[in-house]
Amino acid sequence: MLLPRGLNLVYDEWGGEKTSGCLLHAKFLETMSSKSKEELQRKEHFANSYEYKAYHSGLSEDPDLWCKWSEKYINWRQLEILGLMSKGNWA
Amino acid sequence: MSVGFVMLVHEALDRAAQVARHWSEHGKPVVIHVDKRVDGPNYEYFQQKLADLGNVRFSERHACEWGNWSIVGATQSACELMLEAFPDVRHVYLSSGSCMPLRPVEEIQSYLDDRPRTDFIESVTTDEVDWTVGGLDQERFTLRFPFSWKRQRRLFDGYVDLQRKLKLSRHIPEGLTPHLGSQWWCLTRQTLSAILQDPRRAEFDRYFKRVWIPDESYFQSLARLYSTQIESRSLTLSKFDFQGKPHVFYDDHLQLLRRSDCFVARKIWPRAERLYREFLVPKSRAQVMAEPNPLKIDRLFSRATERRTRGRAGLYMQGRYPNDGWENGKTGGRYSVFEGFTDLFEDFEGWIARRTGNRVHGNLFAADRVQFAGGDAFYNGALSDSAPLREYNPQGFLTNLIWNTRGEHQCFQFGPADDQGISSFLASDRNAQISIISGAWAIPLFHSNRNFAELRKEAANLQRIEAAHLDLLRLGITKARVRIWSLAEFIENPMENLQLILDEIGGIGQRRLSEVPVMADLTGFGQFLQNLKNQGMSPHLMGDFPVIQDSTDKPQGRRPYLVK
Repeated sequence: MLLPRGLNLVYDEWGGEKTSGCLLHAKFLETMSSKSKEELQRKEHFANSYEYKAYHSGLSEDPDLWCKWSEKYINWRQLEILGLMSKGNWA
Repeated sequence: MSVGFVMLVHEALDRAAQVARHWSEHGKPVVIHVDKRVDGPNYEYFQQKLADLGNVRFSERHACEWGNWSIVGATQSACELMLEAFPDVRHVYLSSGSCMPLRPVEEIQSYLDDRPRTDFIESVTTDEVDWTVGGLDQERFTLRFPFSWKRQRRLFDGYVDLQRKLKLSRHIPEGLTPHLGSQWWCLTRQTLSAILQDPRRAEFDRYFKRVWIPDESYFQSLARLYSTQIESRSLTLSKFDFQGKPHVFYDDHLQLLRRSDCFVARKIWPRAERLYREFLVPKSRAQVMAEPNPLKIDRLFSRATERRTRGRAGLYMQGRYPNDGWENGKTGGRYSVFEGFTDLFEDFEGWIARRTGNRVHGNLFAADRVQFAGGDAFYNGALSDSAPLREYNPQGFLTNLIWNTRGEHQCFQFGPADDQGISSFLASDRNAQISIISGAWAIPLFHSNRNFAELRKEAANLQRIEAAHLDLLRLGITKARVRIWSLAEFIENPMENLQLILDEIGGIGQRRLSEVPVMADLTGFGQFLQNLKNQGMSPHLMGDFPVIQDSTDKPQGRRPYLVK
């Protein structure tokens, strides 16, 4: 099915907010360090597994990404207040 | 006497059948118009579902298109059938297949019984409506619209333009004043039959067939001719978003809908199981409704529109990335920038933090690293102190910092030795309060123990950078609040100048100044400047310093001035 072209315009340019969400990056998951080790052996990623290398070295040195400005996740409303996502026109 | 429901149905037939059954089982006659474009088997299935109900009728089917006369035609035939088949009906309530009753049927009935002569139809003249989206209000009635707005937009727009250019205009039937309003109304038998049996009906119908969106104007205009008592509001709750599309109600809106003072709501999402379960209950189980509070609903929806159209000032994210000049505020709150103060005063940062209770950072745009308050390596929102990261997008860095610390007032230092990329953004931001002691950068040079040739070169460089920065701030397009003193002017009356700055920031230090930060020792500074001059450099940003410091002869300077 051909979707409306307007769906490609994902952000508002006139000051308003469009409905948007956020994704949790895999580096925040506990399994990331073992996964990156595995992927470094498989060597099947683009650019010589450049990104996995960075995550592997970074996370094995200091696997704790918590800092004093970190915040415990509560719900989507919290993410909205923080400005990480927006409910746009939803009421 | 009873209320009868006319339903216009074109999709979600199961839900429509459920609502029709609800009304019918409460003893209210229902006439249903099913869009002709619903195919045969579906229509038969739908009819079958309601076959056991004696007070449900199906009217002659029209193929309906949005914004077109066909919807009025469908309404007319359904209403004619209603008035003819159910002589007991006094009020006819027009609803759609995606409508849902919010209040018990008995309540609608008794409400209407108390007002037997009242027609509930939103009906306002074109001069008074502000909700038409698409720009056509009066022209709906004076132009012709043979093309479909949804399918033939170019032809539609082109034909409208052509008619405007040729100044073509239709004649509005005599005695008729065009009115607009919600398509969903509740009319009395007297008014409705007067409209349907009008001797001039053929003339009116012919006229409205070429009006744009006649379903929002046909009954709304004609009711004005016959009704003895019009209450210009709809009993159906329907909300439109900023593009003029109707809002859909979901399960989340249950508590909100309970607070509505309307009897029916549209549109309901067909799969809002909970809403249908809660509101379509038999008499005995009907819940006591919450106290109506329609303002709460209005507020919620107008806030949604506001969020969608204006957004949160100072927020830049994946759903909001305003073009330059459309930000509704470039940053999320006010902040203060100090230039030259740390050079002139010892521990200026600590002092201003104590006086105002604000966060006071060092030079956020220092070339080597970001000097966050307290020397932190990370700041609110996990902002890093890395200078290359900051310089990747200095403006994004600052707007992020201000957004992440909403509710606090940030203060930071800035100077000609810092990365200057942010300079023009600071000048253009209404939220920036910039206080500058120009030429103060010479004081640390004066106190340093470096070779004079080196000092001279450095001084010339800093002066050039600061002069360019000041020129920028003095441009007419500058929106920041800027206060500029030369060094000589400032030390003429430091107490008063500092007080001025504190007053502008606000905060806790509202008393008169008692503690003044310690000023750097300037003995011999005049001679230092003279030496720079002697070496061929011309230090001018610091104002006039006499070579021989005399305690009775204060340096001459103008009063501090406010650029903007």
